[in-house]
Amino acid sequence: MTRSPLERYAEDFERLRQLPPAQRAAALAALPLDEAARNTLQRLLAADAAAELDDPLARLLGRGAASLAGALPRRIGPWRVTGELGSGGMGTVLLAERTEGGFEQRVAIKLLGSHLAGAEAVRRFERERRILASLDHPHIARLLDGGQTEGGVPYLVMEYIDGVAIDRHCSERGLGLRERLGLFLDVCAAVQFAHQHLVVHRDLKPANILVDGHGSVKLLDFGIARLTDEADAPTLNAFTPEFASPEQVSGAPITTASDIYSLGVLLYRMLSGRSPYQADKAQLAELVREIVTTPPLRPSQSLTSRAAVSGAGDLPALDLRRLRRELRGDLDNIVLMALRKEPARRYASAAQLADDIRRYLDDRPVHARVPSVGYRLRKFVARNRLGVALGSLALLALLATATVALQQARSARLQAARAEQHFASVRTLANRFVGEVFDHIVDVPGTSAAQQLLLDTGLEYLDRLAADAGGNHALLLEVAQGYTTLAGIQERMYATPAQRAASAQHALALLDRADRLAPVDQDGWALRRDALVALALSETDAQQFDAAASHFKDAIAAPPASVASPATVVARGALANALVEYAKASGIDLAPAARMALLERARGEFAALKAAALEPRRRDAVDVADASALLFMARTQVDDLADPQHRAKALALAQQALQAHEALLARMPADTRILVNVVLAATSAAAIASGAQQYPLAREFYAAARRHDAQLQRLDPDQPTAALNRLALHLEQLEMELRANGSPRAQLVEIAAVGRLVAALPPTVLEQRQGIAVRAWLDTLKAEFSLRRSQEHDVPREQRLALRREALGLFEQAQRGVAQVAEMVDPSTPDMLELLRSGPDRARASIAALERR
Amino acid sequence: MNEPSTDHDITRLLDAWRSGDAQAREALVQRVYANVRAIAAQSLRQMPGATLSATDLAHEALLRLLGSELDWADRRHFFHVAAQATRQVLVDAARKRLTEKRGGDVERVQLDQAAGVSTSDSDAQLLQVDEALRDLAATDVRRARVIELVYFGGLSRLEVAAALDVSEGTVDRDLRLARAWLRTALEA
Repeated sequence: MTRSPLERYAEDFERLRQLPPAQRAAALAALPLDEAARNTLQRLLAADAAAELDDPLARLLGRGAASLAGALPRRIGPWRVTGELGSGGMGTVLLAERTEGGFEQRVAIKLLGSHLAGAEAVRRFERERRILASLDHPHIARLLDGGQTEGGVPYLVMEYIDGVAIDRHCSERGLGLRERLGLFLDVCAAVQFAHQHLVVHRDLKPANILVDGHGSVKLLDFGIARLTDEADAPTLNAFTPEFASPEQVSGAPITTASDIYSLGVLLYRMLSGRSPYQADKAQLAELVREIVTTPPLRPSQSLTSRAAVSGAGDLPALDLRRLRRELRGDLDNIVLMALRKEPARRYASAAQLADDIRRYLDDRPVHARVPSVGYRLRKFVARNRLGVALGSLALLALLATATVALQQARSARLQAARAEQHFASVRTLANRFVGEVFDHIVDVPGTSAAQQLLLDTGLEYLDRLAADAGGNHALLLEVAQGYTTLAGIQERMYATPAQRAASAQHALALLDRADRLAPVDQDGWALRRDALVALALSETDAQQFDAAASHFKDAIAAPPASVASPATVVARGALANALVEYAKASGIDLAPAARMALLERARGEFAALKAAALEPRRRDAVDVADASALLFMARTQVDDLADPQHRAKALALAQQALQAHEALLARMPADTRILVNVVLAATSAAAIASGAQQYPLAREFYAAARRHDAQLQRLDPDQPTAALNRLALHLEQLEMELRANGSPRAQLVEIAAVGRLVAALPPTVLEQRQGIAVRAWLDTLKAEFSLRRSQEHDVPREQRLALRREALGLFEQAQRGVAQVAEMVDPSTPDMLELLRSGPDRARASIAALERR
Repeated sequence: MNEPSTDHDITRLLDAWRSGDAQAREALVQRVYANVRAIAAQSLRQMPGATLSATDLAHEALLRLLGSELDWADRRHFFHVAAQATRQVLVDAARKRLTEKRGGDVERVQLDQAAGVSTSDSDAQLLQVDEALRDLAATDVRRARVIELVYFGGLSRLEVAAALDVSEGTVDRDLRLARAWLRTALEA
């Protein structure tokens, strides 16, 4: 082979390039080379020096500039470069140091690998850098400095962390479950802190989460992804697909909720040793499809064998069977809640996620099973209202079965006076206590002792009855029903799931005994459905989802062939109730489409009931239940992301639901419970319409909601949550107007009215988190509309300036408020957060623009 | 994937190549070439926000064709091929763009973005690099291969050292010198 022309330069090149530049010329001159060779060598050395900062190949091929060891710039700003830490999609990271005051400081310098074009880009970079520099937290690597190299490459100087990636740390140390969760809690604390400062990480992954020699977690690169995003061409939108959220891969706005999702992926990995996705990270198309549409396997189910993961240490140090048991339930739910496809249904904050993990560690019940109850103002309010609407359905079914069973019992010939006395007790229990006493007492504060007494008394009666029932078929059925009713009361009184399950199991055992005495009929089957639903609901709350799903399936199963058809009214009511409860059950793996199918079936039963000749009171109850089911369908349909028509279909359903509710209201105009439901239906319809960008329609729905709300206020001024509900309604509509570009002038008038509502809130509410959140929300809206108003033609100059200054003050005030209540911030409103985040800068810029003129 | 390549095919070709069948290597390159092209075009359709570098392309081609359960020896061999195929894909795309006056067809845009390359300047540069590398390879196979593996194959220095069975120090020195030489060639 021909000798390579390069070969003859290799040795000299290597030696000379390591000399200080000042000595190079002399050394070159001293070499015994001809003129041409000397020139070539000199050019090679010059090219080498130039390539250190600008590698044409790397630019062409997208590889980090410093992929060569030693091919590093010697100096960046005051920093001496001593090595390379790595290079990735976002640039190259160098190790550097400086000595100052006898103290040696080691830092990591990130070259962002692209040039900042234009003064505006530089200003933006500087602004972001200042924000990032303010993130001072023990688990966040500090941003120390930054600037541009002489060649215009932006760089950031960060605290150097001598550590390893968190996943590697876990497997190398063979950490157990609790130790892993402890580390993860620190990660959450750092993320929460950054979110409170309105900084989203956007690229959370193990490589950015290091654990140092002391076992302390440090997060790197906060906000850098965004920074490079802005500094760069829009196509260079760097993130790591495996850790990216659905909204990230589909190009939707990124919010704090995206970080929560990435935390979910991380936790999944730390607990199960594998990714939540089936697709390999290189099968991009498949991976993206999974991220957007496929719910992940529960971590406990994804554990197959140690052999299936790459290394034994990837899993928490535990026997595999025990590990699976540990993950099943709480931890599964926590991870899956963080990994929900829609941002709004995830944990509202990293603090909430951390709180649930702490609850798991302390053996307290976690929140993950109940989607977002109380997590934030609107969800809290909305769910309470939904609870009112659908809660009545369960009660309806119970009352329906109670009546029939009691008639049955009466018609049976009672053999002993004693039994009759017990019947009276049970009747009292089932009807008076449940229907009247309990309903009145349950929402009254300070009555928990009395409620407990009721409950204990009820249980005592039932236990005595059960012991005496012997071979009395009718009595067995009645006591069984009593236990099921009791389970329902226990649920409302927050008894433990185990206590509720015990009641339901009693009911089922009694039904089994009854079935041995006489063949089961339609109404007996209905009692079984009710008991199974009660059992499944208690299991759902205990996070025993497999058991719950199986009991729900039993509850909706067809009766045995021996049961004579057609179904009775009671049987239909029980089936419809079981279908709706199954569809509503949270935590059970059920696609939106499957939930829709259950609700459709329930509506079929309701239709059959409506066709039957029912007494008016029961008929009304069926109508209420049916309208509620419709509303629930609308809300479920919104979630069915797999269906491209989901918004349109949801909107149609919501309209139907609203009409159904209004028809009910026309029949029962003074019923405040229905009024509450109507307001809820109208608000839901408005939110769905607004989500589908059908603003005129959304406005109509909001108007309807407000009309009905006003009526509710007249009929029942003391509704406990009504004041906050009302505010939420107004604020939601204002937010919609923001998106719909509603007239700033009109909205400012509206905002003034809402401001009066806020001011009228009781001081106890105002000073609490909800009050703070409401004010921050309103301030942001007012600031934004003021800014918009100030740009309209009919506004005189002095007023413009005043409006803009006011906007600035409001934005700043709102930012302070949001920082106080970060966990209530609604991540589903990226626009709002973005407006708030950029607000002060925009206001300042517009003030400056005016003052310049 | 429209290419009828199967894992089995690829593994067989890798085996054949390792036992000295030079034609097997060519066949492999052609297989992988088709894949890299498809990946580049597809990735942008699927995920508008993300960018694939040349090395991502090579890695994805590997995983698609062989899965992740591949021993290091196979991997190493495969990367030789993938690096070469990726280089061909990028160069062919650049050449096509430069010869075609009219623009705007979909695949073109996607290949541009996928490779992080967007101007005809860089197309021309890429062709220059390719040519210079070919010149280098005529006399200095090892250094040309080092460049190809690092820049088109995405291998780390350690991996390149293993792949070429030389020391890490050698890889560093080769890479540095070859890179400087390429730069002078581009400036010339």
